[in-house]
Amino acid sequence: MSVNILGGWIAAFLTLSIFSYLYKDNPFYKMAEHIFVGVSAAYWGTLAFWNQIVPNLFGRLWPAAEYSSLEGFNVAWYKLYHGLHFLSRSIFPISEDGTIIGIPGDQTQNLTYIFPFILGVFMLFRLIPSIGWLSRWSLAYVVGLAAGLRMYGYMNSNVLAQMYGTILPIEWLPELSFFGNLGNIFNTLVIIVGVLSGLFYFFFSMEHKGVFGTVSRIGIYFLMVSFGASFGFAVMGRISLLIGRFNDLIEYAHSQYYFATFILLGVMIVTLYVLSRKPDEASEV
Amino acid sequence: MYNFLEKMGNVDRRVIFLIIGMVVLLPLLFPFGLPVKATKTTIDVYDAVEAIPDGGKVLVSFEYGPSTKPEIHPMAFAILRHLFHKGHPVIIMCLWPDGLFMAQEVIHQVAELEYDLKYGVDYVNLGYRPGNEAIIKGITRGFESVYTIDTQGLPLSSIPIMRGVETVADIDFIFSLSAGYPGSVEWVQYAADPLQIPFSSGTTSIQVNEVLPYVQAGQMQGIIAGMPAAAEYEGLIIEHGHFDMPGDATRFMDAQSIAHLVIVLFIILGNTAYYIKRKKEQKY
Amino acid sequence: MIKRTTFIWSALLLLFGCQNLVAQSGFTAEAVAEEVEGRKVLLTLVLDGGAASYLLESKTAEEATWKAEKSVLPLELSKEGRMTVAVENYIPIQFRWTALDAEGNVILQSESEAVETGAKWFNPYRTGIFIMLLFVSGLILYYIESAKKAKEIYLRPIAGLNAFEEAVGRATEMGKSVLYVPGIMDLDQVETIAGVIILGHVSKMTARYETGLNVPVSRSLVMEASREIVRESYLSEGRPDLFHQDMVHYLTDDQFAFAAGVDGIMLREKPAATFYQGRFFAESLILAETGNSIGAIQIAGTGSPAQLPFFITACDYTLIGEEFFAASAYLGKDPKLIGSIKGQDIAKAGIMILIGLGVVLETFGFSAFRELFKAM
Repeated sequence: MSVNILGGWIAAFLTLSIFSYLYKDNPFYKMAEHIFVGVSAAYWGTLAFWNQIVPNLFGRLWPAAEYSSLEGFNVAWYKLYHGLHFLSRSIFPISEDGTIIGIPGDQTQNLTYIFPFILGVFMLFRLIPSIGWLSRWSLAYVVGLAAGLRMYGYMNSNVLAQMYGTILPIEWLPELSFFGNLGNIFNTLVIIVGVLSGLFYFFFSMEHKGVFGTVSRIGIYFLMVSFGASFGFAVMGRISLLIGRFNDLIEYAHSQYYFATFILLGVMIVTLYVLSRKPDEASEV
Repeated sequence: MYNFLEKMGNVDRRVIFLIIGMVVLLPLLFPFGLPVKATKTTIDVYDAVEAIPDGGKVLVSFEYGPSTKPEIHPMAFAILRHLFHKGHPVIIMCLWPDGLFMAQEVIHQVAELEYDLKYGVDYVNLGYRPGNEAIIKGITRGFESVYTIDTQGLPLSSIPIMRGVETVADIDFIFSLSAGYPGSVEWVQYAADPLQIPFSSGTTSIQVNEVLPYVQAGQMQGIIAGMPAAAEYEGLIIEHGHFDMPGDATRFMDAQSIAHLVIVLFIILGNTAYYIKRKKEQKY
Repeated sequence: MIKRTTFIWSALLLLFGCQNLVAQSGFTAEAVAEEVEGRKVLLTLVLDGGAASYLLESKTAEEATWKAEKSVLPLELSKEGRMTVAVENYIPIQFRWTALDAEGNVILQSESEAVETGAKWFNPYRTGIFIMLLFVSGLILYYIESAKKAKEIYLRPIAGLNAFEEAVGRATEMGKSVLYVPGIMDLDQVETIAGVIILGHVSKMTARYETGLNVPVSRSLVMEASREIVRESYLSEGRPDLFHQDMVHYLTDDQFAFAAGVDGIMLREKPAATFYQGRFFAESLILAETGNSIGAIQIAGTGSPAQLPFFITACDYTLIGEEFFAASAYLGKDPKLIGSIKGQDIAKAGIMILIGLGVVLETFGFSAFRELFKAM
């Protein structure tokens, strides 16, 4: 329970520190910002190493196996693992009795992972200027792979399926009323005109003059209306997030958290007031 | 009046921050229960869930973290309550690392405390795997190519709910709780479109315009758009008897509505002040 | 295209491959199993009549008895009676449908021919996309070749692009630095790649004007690529002495922590010009709003439609969507890139014509044309 209370105090302090930025840049905000950047960088680094590199790379190159069952190439291959185990016992473990060797998990061995391993090592060559150029191969691989992987997805979902969604009939439906039909046709026309004129705005090799200029202008109006709607959604989202933070601050203001929000808010206001009376010193903190 | 409006245009931004803060805080402390009416896109999601065949397996993917928790978390509660009340087996996975913590929180509350469901039979948490859309692409080939074990270390082959589920094509409905990349768009591109699996999503408000074209084109079955839509969904499951208590989103709606109203007023005042200022400058 | 291929395949299989069982009251069912691609079979149940549910079973050549796959409700099948099932590669497998009435009595059964899947070089169901890709790529390659042969290609002016040099110039005059953020995503995003390429042009300007450049990044690969491109720019401008590694520096992978870090840099260093070029999410407004508050000239560019409104409101210039992707061609005047823009324009024109044609045909009741574009 006491850990919970401490957590509540830290959360309330960091939330109020970030909010203090709305007043002006100050030591509380700076502290919260540096903690945020530092903690998250370490978190992502650790996560990438233990969730990605260890199980997905090392785990596939040297999956856990019974030492006595190794044969052929694997005998020599796992000798290399022995060397790595010597470097780090936690990353490259061997069971205490020495019978199980390899990265624990349910992976099966896949030696093609040696290629990503080599490309990864190439990235580290940046630290040695004379062979640093090798890292470009790794970058080229990532860029090329991404282009290929995305080409199909974009063409299918963002081009073909969107064309499918835009090709709509302009029709009079007997089941709808007169005004219902008018509304329906109007909606269809808005979609078709919006897509075509919007696409037209993004024609670069043609001068936007005369009729083309008008169509392009209609396109930009459509874009602006959609941006307006987006902006509305963004305001809605930001208010939702603010509500979430306030809800937590209200919770930390209760007696079970020893009125953390009130106490911290008071301390911060007083500190900021004192610092504001010494502007030169404050800016150097 | 003109002078007042002109002054409003030059007001210190900190005053605006303070007013917004107050209009959000007060309704949270003193709620008054404004009515919430469901919109079509939210009803479409509800109908899509209702249309899942009895016993149909559902995949729920958690793609959000603490930073967008207030918006998406209520949706996660509402959708899982709806699915569990209808008796659908639910397979949970995470494309965001923080998603795992979000999923665990929702599972603990809904599956364990409220419905007392059996792990591995009624639901399973496959956890987080790095790889973004490559994970989605991976499960279209086979769950076991990406997930060999679940969050409890159990091999997939030993989990009853995973029997008969080799690829994502064996899933009857996919729901993504999405706050960005990877999220709804990637699910449409790599699973729902190629395999024609019914798919729907709950997203942050900011993402709505990006995802809406897929709803319009029929590639998604509706969308829960931000916290207000989460409140609408909470209302729908109560209205149809799937649950009996309003969730967080409904509780927050008063603050949301009043804040919107005040912001609209600010926009009108700001624009009027700008208009008057420009007129004056033209005069001189 | 997809439709027609499917139709021909189905017809052939129906003619030669299927057992057709006839039961009481003229109720017929024909089961077809086709290979879609490796490890995937498309089952089609052509029905004349109806059932409450179906039992789907399978049997490989080595198995003697049928094994239940799953129970299927009519609404789980597509309108055409289709369903995909995952199978093992290179093992011939047969499927049997059993139609059941509401009480669970068997109405009739229908078996498919054995089907075997394997890894394939070509998926006929994706012929439409393949043709589209060939068409678009062909156009782009053709116009790149044309541009290389020194054929003049007109490009309309884009407002924000002229402001690039102006913004760097202003920073120089004020003796302040330029801040450049290439988005928060990794190099596998096309926007990040575009952002890094534009960084090459901006860093050439800062090298020319001897202005400070600060590039905070949120991904390690982006840091490497950005350093590489900035160093080359400084070399090509003959100012390697002004380049130092820390111009491009990593902050954190976390979205909002990165935003907080960049905000801090802005508040303390007060750059005179800020560039946001890449893929952004919810942090876009936080960054642009802070930049606005310190009075910097701000130029944004992104392909993320959801973030454009914030950049448009808070920045001085914004490159919208494709303008952003075209920017490097405009700035670099490279015939290869200019040619690719022309190629893309023609592809867009083609898409517009197809949509227009589709609307007319759909209005007159010819819906087969629209079906060609259905996602697969």
